Amino acid sequence: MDASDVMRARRWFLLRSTLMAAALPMAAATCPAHANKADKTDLAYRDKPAANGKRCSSCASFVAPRGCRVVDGDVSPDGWCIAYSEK
Amino acid sequence: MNISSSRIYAAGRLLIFLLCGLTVLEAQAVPSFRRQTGLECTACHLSWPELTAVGRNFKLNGYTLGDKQALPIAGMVIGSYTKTNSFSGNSNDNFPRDNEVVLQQASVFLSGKISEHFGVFSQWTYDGVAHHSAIDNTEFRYANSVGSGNDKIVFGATLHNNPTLQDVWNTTPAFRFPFTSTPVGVTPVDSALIDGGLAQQVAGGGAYVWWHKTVYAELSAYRNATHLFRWFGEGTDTSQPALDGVSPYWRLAVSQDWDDGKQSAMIGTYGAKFDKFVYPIDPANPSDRIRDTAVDAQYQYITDEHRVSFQGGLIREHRDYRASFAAGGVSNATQKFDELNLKATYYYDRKYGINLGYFSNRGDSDQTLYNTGDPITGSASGSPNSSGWIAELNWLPFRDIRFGLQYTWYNKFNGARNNYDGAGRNASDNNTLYVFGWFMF
Repeated sequence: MDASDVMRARRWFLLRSTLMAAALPMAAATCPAHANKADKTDLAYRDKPAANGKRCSSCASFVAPRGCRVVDGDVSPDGWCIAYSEK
Repeated sequence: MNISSSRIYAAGRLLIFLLCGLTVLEAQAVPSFRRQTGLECTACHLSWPELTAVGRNFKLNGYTLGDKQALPIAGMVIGSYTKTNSFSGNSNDNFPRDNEVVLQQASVFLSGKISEHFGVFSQWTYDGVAHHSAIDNTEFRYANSVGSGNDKIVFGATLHNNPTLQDVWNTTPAFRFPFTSTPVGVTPVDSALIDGGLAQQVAGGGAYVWWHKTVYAELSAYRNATHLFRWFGEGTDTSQPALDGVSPYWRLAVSQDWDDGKQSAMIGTYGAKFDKFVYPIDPANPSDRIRDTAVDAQYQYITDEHRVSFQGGLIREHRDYRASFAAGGVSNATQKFDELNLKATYYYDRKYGINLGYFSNRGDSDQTLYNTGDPITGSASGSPNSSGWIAELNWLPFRDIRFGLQYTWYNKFNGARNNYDGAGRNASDNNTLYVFGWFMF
């Protein structure tokens, strides 16, 4: 590989890298932003607290009064699921 | 290209990637899967990267759960120290950074939800030992579903650059224990092709269905990361493409969760057929025919306080070395190779973990392939048989930081317990102490 080949490879690499780095942000910026949620059964949701007393009202994903960032539908403050994350 | 210019070139690659990410990072803060979902790491991981039922659900649904982040960027750094048991009077050419603290790797991730049904996991890694940066595991995934509750059918498509990267159980090679290992120790002379032999060398596309949260089925196909897919191997040497044509891959698994999601189990099978080029290419016999067939199983018990998991997998590789044999690269035209991996994990309070793994590689002897005459890496008996244990202790003072102490014992290395290389080296000489700090941010 001579010097001109190296320079050509570098230019081509820079172009590819720039396109790669720009493609995802562009895709992220241009696609609509819907919040996806899981079915209650996907995360083993139930309307009662865990055995150790942990419940949705103390979960980081809980949205008062009866919502959740990741579980779809009506969510009880006294419920619990396997995605529980301490607030 | 001389060494210094190649280092500058490698550093430039990483710098470009970091700058592209950090430029927007300043404006948009740091998003990641955790930021996207609002969940703790330990909701999706028994202990990262091992997936829980929540993590598997997240991946099967295309990394789309939660709120889309403007820029899903994250980072990872692993620093480590390795001490090989003995050099037995040999030079340390095979152990260039042994007994040193090294920056093992630094990675940047662009990983997250792109649209309602489309997500990405992508990684760019700087190898601190080889001083080289390149694309790492990368996957684009589309997912959708019909039905609801236990009758839901999730279906999707995947495009990725490492066979089994797309799998959601930690029994397949891409995300199997050990999750990190020494970058400087010697390793057994052979492994199955599907076990990392094509990583970042290929582009794979496929479709999958996740039926009633019970049955997972997938069909994929691989081709070389060239032409349109060249970027899937960016930074790696793809000047000699690995695959001859298109290679099929299949996966079938049956899984069940019970006890309010605390317990889960899976039993499955997967396999692939690869036609692999041998260089220089002989038009009469351009490629070897490699067929991998595997069975695997996993069990997990997960609570906040106690977390237990078991994984096992056996890969049987049938090798039709017609091209290698014609080229004089092997002694036997057909061979078998088996790779067994078992692992048990226990975590207390999600902070303190102990892992024990067993591995065994067994294959047909081949004097040309394995008896290279090289000390340390060769096999005097011409056998690839190697087996041993890996024990690892983990401590996670914070959810994103792991310190680990790993020790690898070899019962057998390249065919023998004692004097395996014919130069007096024993399998136990390759036992390795590996200490690491693993930081995610």
